[in-house]
Amino acid sequence: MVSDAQVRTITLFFLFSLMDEKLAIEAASKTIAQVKSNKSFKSKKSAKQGIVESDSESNVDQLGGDHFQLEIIPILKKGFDYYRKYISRSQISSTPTTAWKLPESTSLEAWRLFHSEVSEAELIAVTLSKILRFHDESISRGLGVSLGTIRYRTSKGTRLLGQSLQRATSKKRA
Amino acid sequence: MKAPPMGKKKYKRKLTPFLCREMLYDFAIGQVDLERKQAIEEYLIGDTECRNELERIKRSLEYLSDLEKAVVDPKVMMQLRESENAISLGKKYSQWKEWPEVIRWSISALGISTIVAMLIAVIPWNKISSIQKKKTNIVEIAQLHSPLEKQLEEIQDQQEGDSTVAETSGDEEVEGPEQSPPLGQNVAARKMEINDSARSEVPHEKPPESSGDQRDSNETRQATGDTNLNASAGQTKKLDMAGVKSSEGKAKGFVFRGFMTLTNLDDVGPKISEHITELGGFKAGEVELGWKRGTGRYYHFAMPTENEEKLLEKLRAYGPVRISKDPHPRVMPSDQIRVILWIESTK
Repeated sequence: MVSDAQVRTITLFFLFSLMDEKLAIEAASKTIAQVKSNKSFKSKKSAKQGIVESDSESNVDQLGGDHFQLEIIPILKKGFDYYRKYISRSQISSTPTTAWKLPESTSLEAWRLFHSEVSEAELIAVTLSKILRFHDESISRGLGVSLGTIRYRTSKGTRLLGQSLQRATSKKRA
Repeated sequence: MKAPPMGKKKYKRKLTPFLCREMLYDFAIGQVDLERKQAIEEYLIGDTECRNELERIKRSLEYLSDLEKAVVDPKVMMQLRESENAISLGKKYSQWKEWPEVIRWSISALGISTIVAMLIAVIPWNKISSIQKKKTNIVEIAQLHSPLEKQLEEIQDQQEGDSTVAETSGDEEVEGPEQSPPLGQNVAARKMEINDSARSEVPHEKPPESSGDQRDSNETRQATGDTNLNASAGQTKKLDMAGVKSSEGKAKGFVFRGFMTLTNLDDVGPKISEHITELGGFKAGEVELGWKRGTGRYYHFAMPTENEEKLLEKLRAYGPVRISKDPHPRVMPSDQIRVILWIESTK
């Protein structure tokens, strides 16, 4: 069984990293099917409790703990590597957002600018660490890099995003 | 650079723009130690660029926390929740409880019906019912004879009636009140072997008789019991039924009845008569051997017991022989057998 929080996490990762709804849904569908067929995702806690969701639990608990993060990160990376060749990051100008919704005051323009300029490693680090709230330790182990590398990529990505935000704001004013 | 003199303050490293910029992110999320935090705060007072950079980082973090609140469309969620691949489907339906309920019930019903059918086929119901029905009596409802057998019986009855006086000499012949033995007597006699075990256990119980023999039932009950006691004394349960009672309790002898169907009976008939004579046979009734009647020939004869097999061999040379041994009131000497042979001609 895959929980709603896990489905949401997987879907948002591909939506933010691929910036193409069709590709993102396809990638998410395959990843979720793979999770269902993978025995290693049945941790003792999740196996006993089945779907364990409540609003009061932290995101980590909702996801199924660090065990889920450790298992899913390599799969997400693999899916991203497979589908990124089907997108043209330089040509992402307008992306329909029928499959997902952001808060009303939030625009996706800054993220599009950021997405077109940042490296893939930093994109993944920022998405997993800052949007999906994965632990840095889990990300470093899942991607097979050091903790310092993940923190460096996250900080650099965040700074770049800040610059993109500023440019997007300037454009908007103009 | 000279080391500070002993007892003086530790030399503070001056923060460079590069270092400050690199640590701004950690400063923004509060992951720098106290000393560095103070150093950065001091540096930021004098560096506008770093202050702007810090501002951008903070806005970026706010923007990312807004993006965290993104919601996936419920329809898309539902669609994605049902995602399966071959392996996950195989795993899902490998569990019995995941199968659709209709299919589960159908398979269960099929399995149960198959097991029941196998049990019915394997268990020997006949033996079980026969064990339970050990003490039951056989009731004769109707006796079916072929036309040939009927004809033969009529002929024999005719002969028996005629020869009653001539054949009683020297033989322990037991005659019933009627000239011809009733049908029920023949039937009951033939069934004697089957009911033998029941009768030996219940000496006074006898099988139900066919209609026409009821009047003698009371008289013969005691005789039946006596007969059984004599039977149990030494006589075996052979097919010759010696000592076994009939419905009237009087049939103590037997007769061999044979049937054949031959072509060229005109030629073969006399030969068979010769064979019988050669083996020591002689007519046992009024008519001669091979008496012609209708489309067949009738042979009623007695012969020595030891030549029985030889006679059968000679008869089989001409064709198949159907022979049966039936009880009969007329008792022959122990070294003789009586045979009634009917040969039907086919042309």
